[in-house]
Amino acid sequence: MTERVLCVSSRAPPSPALSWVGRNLAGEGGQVALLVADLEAPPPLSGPVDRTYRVTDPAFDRGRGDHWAAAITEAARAFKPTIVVTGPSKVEQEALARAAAGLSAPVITKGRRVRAAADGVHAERDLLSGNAVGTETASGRPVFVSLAEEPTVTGEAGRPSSATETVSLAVSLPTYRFRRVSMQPKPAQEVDLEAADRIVSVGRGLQRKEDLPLVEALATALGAAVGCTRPIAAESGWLSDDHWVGLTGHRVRPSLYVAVGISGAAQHLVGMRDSKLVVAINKDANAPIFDQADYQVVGDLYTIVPELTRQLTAAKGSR
Amino acid sequence: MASNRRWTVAVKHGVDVNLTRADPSTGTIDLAHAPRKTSDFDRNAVEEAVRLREKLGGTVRAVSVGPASSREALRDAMALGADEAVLLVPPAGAALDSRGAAMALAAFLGSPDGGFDLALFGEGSTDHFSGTVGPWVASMLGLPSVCHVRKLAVDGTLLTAFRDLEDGVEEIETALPAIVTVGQEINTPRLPTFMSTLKASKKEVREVSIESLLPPPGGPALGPNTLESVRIPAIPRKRLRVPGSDPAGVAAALIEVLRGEGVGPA
Ligand SMILES: Cc1cc2nc3c(=O)[nH]c(=O)nc-3n(C[C@H](O)[C@H](O)[C@H](O)COP(=O)(O)OP(=O)(O)OC[C@H]3O[C@@H](n4cnc5c(N)ncnc54)[C@H](O)[C@@H]3O)c2cc1C
Repeated sequence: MTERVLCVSSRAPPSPALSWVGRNLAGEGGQVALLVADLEAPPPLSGPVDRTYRVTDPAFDRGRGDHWAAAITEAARAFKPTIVVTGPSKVEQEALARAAAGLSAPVITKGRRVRAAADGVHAERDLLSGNAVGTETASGRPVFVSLAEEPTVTGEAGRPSSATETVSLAVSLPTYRFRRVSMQPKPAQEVDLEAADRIVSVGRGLQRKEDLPLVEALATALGAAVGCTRPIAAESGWLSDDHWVGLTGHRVRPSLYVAVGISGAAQHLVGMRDSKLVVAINKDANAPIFDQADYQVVGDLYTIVPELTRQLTAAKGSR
Repeated sequence: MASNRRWTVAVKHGVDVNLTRADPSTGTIDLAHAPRKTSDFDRNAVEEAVRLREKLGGTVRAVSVGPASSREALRDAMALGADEAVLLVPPAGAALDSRGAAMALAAFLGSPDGGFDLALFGEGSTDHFSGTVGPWVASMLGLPSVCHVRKLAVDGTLLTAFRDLEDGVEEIETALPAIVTVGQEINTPRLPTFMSTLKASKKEVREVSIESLLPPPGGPALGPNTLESVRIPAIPRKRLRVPGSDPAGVAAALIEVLRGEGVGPA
């Protein structure tokens, strides 16, 4: 079966890897269109895209899910996709849901390994807050899909792009009052946890922000990046979101993951279960994290962590 | 002061992820028979609605979509402070996915009976986390959606909401009626008391059939999404207790272990 895939990237410039997801889904003889909001310059005509729909309305706001939904609706009317696919961002997911509603189309969000087959579109995804995984199937067409992660793989370079045409798209934007009053930017990304080979991660066992250096020193002694649970980033704001591990944070796969003062909630475990070796430090011998750990240290982080750092640093010095 | 403001909250009676176990013989989970409870973020949505009522007056209405067992989630919402509850009941035996639930909710909230000033949703459910229901309903009703809200205030017909995006927190101003989705950061839900639970158990749950809301065939023409081979990915762990009678001893033993595993000092 060949598909007509509409790829929607709210990023500027649009994600080239997303177009390749579209190309792989389209199959032999399928068609791929890319929807972009490029108000200044036309997008580069490269990659696996047959047609580019370009929104040029100066009132279009690329930070608004309802604006993207209006654009998707218009592009879908013109292109008649069998599959619409977006990246994982919050704005893209909101847009996907709003646009799918207009067509009463089935949706799969946060999909991995998306496949199109005669009986429907299949994707693997996390379920039960990350406790489980499963395959979700949406029957019929069109199906709207968002990806769990920003795609990174691009196909063979040099595929002819001469067939690409660009079409300007007129969209009818919502008229209700909606205004962005201010934007408090989050700190620029401090760590790339996905790429870290070692991570020392901290949870609510830490009592004060002032105690963070304890954990940071251990990370330094191990040559590790610092990670954390959702409350540390989202509630307390002690660390920026790029340190946040879990279902709604980052998914990491280091060779060493040290969990300090972390209880081991399912939503956290899903983010770190691909770690090769897990060490847990917790004062509660019954903490669920211990079931998911290779080495269990039962004790007070306030005494264990400084001692560990001291010995690690001494060991380094004496080599 | 009398107020006719209407705060509506959607609550899902979802799978209780902490009590769910896989069938040891197959390794898979039977979601149809798993234990259930109110989805976590929906309780934050109820709490936020109750706070709005405490400040501005009016009525908090909880709405759920599902079979009779979903009454549990509505009772829970009323124990947290919701004044009234409506259950949208699917046709017998019909399976519901996020899309079906969203369509039913949109049909009810858009009916003369379902009007509201602000409708609050969890930003995702604890079991499926599709994150689609709030924005879907907003779209069907032609209303603004503000998702991932961490703080909000209502002044007349003006909603001010702070939404959490990947690269920052945005302050949005929009007009009511509107739809917001919230996460656990927005508040800490109060604990139901013995009295509030008792009172909730005596309140009526009004039932509305989805067939009476949606035109024939009474729901999505396409089948609901299905889930297959739902399983808990097994990662074998060694689960070894690091020995030692004092911090120095434990630390030394752990460093030995790390060296043995090839992940010693940097
Ligand atoms: C839909 C949803 C999505 C979520 N997404 C995420 C996510 O992406 N990531 C995430 O992390 N969470 C997520 N959560 C939250 C998650 O459920 C837990 O609330 C959170 O992970 C708990 O964080 P914690 O382990 O730091 O805190 P707690 O659960 O409070 O655990 C603290 C631990 O520290 C230990 N401790 C206390 N003092 C000491 C001491 N002195 N020494 C040693 N140990 C000590 C305690 O024994 C306890 O085990 C999500 C929740 C929901 C509902």
